[in-house]
Amino acid sequence: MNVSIELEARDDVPAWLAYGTPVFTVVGALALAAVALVALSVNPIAAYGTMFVETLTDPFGLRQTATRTVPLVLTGLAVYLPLRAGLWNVGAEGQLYMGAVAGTWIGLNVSLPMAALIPLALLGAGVAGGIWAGIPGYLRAKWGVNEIITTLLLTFVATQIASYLVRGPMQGGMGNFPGSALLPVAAQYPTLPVLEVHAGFLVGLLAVAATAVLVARTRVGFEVTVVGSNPLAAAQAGMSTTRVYLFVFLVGGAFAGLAGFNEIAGVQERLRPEFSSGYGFTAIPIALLGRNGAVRVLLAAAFFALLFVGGSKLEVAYGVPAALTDVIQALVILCLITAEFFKRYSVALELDRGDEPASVEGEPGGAA
Amino acid sequence: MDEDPFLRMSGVRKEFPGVVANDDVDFSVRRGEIHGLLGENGAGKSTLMKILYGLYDADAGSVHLGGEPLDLDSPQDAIDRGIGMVHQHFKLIPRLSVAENVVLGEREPAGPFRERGGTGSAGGDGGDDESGGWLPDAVRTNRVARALAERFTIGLDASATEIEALADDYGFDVDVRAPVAELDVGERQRVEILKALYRDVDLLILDEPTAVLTPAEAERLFETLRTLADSGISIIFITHKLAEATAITDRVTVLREGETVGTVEAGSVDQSDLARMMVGREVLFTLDRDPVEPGEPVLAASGLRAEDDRGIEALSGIDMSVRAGEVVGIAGVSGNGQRELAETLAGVRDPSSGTIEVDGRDLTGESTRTFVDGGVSFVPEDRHEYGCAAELSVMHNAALKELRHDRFDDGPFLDYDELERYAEEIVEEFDVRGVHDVREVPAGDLSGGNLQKLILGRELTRDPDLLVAHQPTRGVDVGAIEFLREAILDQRAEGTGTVLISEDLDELFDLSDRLLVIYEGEIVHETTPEAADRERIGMRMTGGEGDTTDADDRGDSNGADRAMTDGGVRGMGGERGARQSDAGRSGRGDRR
Repeated sequence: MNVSIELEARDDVPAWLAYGTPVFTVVGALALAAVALVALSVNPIAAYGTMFVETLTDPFGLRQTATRTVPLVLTGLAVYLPLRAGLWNVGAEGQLYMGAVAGTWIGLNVSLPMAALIPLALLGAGVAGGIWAGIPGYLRAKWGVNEIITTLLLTFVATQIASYLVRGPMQGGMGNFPGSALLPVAAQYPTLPVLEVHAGFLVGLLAVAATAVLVARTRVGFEVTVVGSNPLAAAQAGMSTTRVYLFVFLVGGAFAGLAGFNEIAGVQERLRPEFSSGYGFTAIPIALLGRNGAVRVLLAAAFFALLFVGGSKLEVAYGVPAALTDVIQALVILCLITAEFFKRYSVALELDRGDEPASVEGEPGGAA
Repeated sequence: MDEDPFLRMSGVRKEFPGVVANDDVDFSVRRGEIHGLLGENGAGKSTLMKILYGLYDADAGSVHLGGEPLDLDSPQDAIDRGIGMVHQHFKLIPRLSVAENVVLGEREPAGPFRERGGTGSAGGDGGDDESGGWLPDAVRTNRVARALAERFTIGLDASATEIEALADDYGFDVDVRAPVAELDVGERQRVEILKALYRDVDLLILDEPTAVLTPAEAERLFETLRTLADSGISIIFITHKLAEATAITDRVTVLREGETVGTVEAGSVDQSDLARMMVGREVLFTLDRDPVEPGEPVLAASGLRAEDDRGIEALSGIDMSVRAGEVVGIAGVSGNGQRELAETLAGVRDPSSGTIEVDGRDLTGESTRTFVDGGVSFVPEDRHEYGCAAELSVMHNAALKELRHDRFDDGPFLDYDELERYAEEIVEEFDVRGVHDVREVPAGDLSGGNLQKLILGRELTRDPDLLVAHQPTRGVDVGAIEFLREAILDQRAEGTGTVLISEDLDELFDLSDRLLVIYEGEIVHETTPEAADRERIGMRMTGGEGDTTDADDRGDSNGADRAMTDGGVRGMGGERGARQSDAGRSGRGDRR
C-alpha cells in the first residue's frame, strides 16, 4: 500500500478559507475538547448546550459574559495593534496591572465627583499601561531589543509591584489581608441602564471603534499597516518605524491599562494581588483570532468570555475540572496554528492500493 | 511543424480569476534540443511550465511526452516521468553537502531499509549491504515496511562517489562533499542541475537560469547545457533576454499575452525579429535623448562617507553634483559602494561624514521623510525587499510616498477613494499590467517588470527634483526596460535631476549626460558617454588605471573586467543603433 501526502503551497487562499478560518478553528477545538468530555463521562452535546446555549439565553449569563468581555477585548486590542505593525506584545497582563495600580491610586487619593474622577483614573491607568508597554517599544524601536522577551519579563515586574503595593503602601481596609482599601463610590463604575453591566463595557466598545477607525481610516493606521508588512519599504518611503513602533506600544499598553482599571472599578472594587485571571495572556489568542480587524477582536474576546463563563457553569453542573476551560482555550490556539498551516498549503491525501506487482524482480526474499 | 516531437503541448489553456494566462498555446520540443521559451514578464511562460511540471492543471489542451499522454498531479509525478526543473530561486539546503542535497527529496530510505542488490530507486546501490544490512530481508522487502521507510526515514548517506561519478560524466566541477553554503551561485545552480540528472531526466526546464549568474558563469552554464543536449536530454530554457535566446538555443518559441506567437529556428532570426515577436511591435534599441539644458544644481554631495551594514566603510569621500534635467550615470562592479551611495543620497542611510544638499538645502543627517518631502525619489535596487510591501495592495504601494499630501485629506481621515484614484492613475499612465482592482491585487502578485513600473511610477508621479535610481531595469523584460528608460528620460525633460546607478553599461551610455565610475567607494573616473571609451571604463571599474596592464596583476579582475565590458554585448545592446523607427516610439506615446 502506498500512502501519498502531497503538500502544495497555495498561490492564493480561497475566500471561504480565509474568512472561515476562525469558525473552523473554534469548531475544531470544540470537537477535540469533546474527547476530553467523553473521557470524563459527560455527554459533550449536553455539556456544550449548558456552556453556550444556557449561558447565552440566561440574562445573568449574558451579563457575566459581557462583563468578562471588557478586559479581554481591551487587552486583545493591546496585542492586536502592535501585531498590525509586526510586533508581539505578550505583556498585556503586566500593562493591565500597572493600569490597575495607577487607576486605583487615583481613585483612592483624589476626591472629585464621579464625572471627573473616573475619566481621570482612566487617563492615569492608560498612561501607566502605555508607559509599561512603551519601555519595550522604545527598546525595540531604538536598539532592536526583542520585544517578546521584554514585554513578557516586564509582566512579572508589574505583578510583583502590584503585589508589593497591596501588602505595603496601598494596603488597607482588609486587616492583614493583601489588598487596597475599597474604591470610593465616585471611582466605581455605575451600572448601565437596560444592559445592567458596568460602564466599563462602553469603554471597551469605544476602544474597539477607535482602533477600527485608526487602522482603517487614518494615515497613522496606513503607516502601521505598511510597517507591519515591510518595515524596510516603509523606512525607504520616509515612514519612521521608530515612531510607529512606539505608537503601537503606547496605545496598545494604554488599552491594557484601561482594562486594569475597568476590572477594579467595575468588578473587584479594590486592588488585590493576582486579581486578573490571565486576561493579558488570553489576549494573545484573541488578537490572533481577530487579527483582521478590531471588530473581530471584539468577537474573539466575546467568545473567550463565553468560554470562561460557560466553563464555570459546566464546572458546577457536571463537576468537571476547571482545567477543562483551559484545555479548550489551548485547543483553540492549537487549531488556529493548524489552520494557518492549511491556509498556506493545500494537502492532498491519496491511498493507493498498489496491486500491480511491479518492481519485485530481483527481490531476494520475496514478499513477506 | 514537428512530426514526432518529444514533448508536445497543444491547445493549452489556463485561466485564473480575471486573467487568461495561457490561451490555446502550442509548444513542442524535440529530443536533444535546447528550446528557448521567450516572452515578456507575464506572457505566460511560467504558467505553461508549471503546467508541464505538474504544479497547475490545464483547463484545456493536451500534453504528450515521448508519444504518451502526460497527466500530472504533482511535481513528483513530473519527476517520475523524467521532467526536471531548475527554479530561479534554488531549492537547496545550505548546511547539507552537495551529495546530500542531490539525494534529498528522492525519498531514499535510510540504510537499513534499503534493498540489497539495489533494484529500486536510482540511489540504491549494492555498496550499502555491509553498512546497514542488519534488517532481515523479510522486513526490507515488505511493501508496507518499505512504504513506511520511504516516508519516514531518510538516507542522506547514499554514496557520494556515485554522485561524483555523475558529476564527472557531465563535466561538472563540483566538490560533492562540500556543504552547499560554501558554493557560489554558479556552483549552486550546477547542483540543481545535478539533482535533476540524478533523477534521470529526459527533459530539463530552466527558469531564467542566467538571471543570477555573472556573464562568465552564464558562459559556463551554456557549455554545460550543450553537453547535456548532446547526450540526448531536451532542455527548455526560459528567458526574456534576446541575446541568450539567439546564442544557445536551437529553436525559440515566443509567447505574448498568453498566446503562442510562433516557433522559429534560432539561426534564422536576429534579435530584433525576436523582440518584435515578443513585444508585438518594433523595439527601439536606441533611445531619443533630446538635449536638455541643465538647470540649477539639485544635488550637491561633498566628502560623503558611509558605512555598510556591517560597519565597514563603503563610501570613502564622494563628491558629486547633479543639475536639474541631467542624468548622471554611475558605473561600477557590484559591491563597490553603489548601494550605500544610493541609500545615502536618498536619505535612507546616514553618512558618517560629508554633506548632502538638495536644491541648495543642507539635508545632511535629516530623516528619510525630510528627503522624501524635500523632493527626493528613490528606486531601490531590490524591489521586493525595499521597493514595495508585497502583501499589501497596489493602492497601498502606489501611495507609499505621497501619503502625506493633502489631496488625500478627508477631514481628519485618509481619503481612500482618492488613494484609489491616485493608484489607478499610476497604473494607467505607467502601463502596469495584471491589475484588475488596485485595492485587491497585492503588489507581490505583479511580475517583475510590472512591479518595477509601479515603483517607478510612484516615484515619478511625484515630480521629484532628484531621482536616485539603482538598477531600475534589472531583471525585467525588454518591453518594460524600454518603457522604464523612456520614463526616466521623459522625467529628465521635466527637469528632474537623476542619479542612475547601473551595472549595465548600455543603459548608462543610453541615458546618461555624464558618467562617473565608482570603485571601492570612490569616484575614480568621470566622462561623458560621447567621449567615453568602454574599455577604459571597464578598466577603471575594476581598479585599473586606464590603458596600463594593471589588471593583469589581479587574478580575478580580468574576468570581472571582461564581464563588465561584455555586459552590454550580452544584453539587448547587441543591436544598439540598428533600428530606429517611428513605430517604436509608440511606447512613449502610450504614456501620454
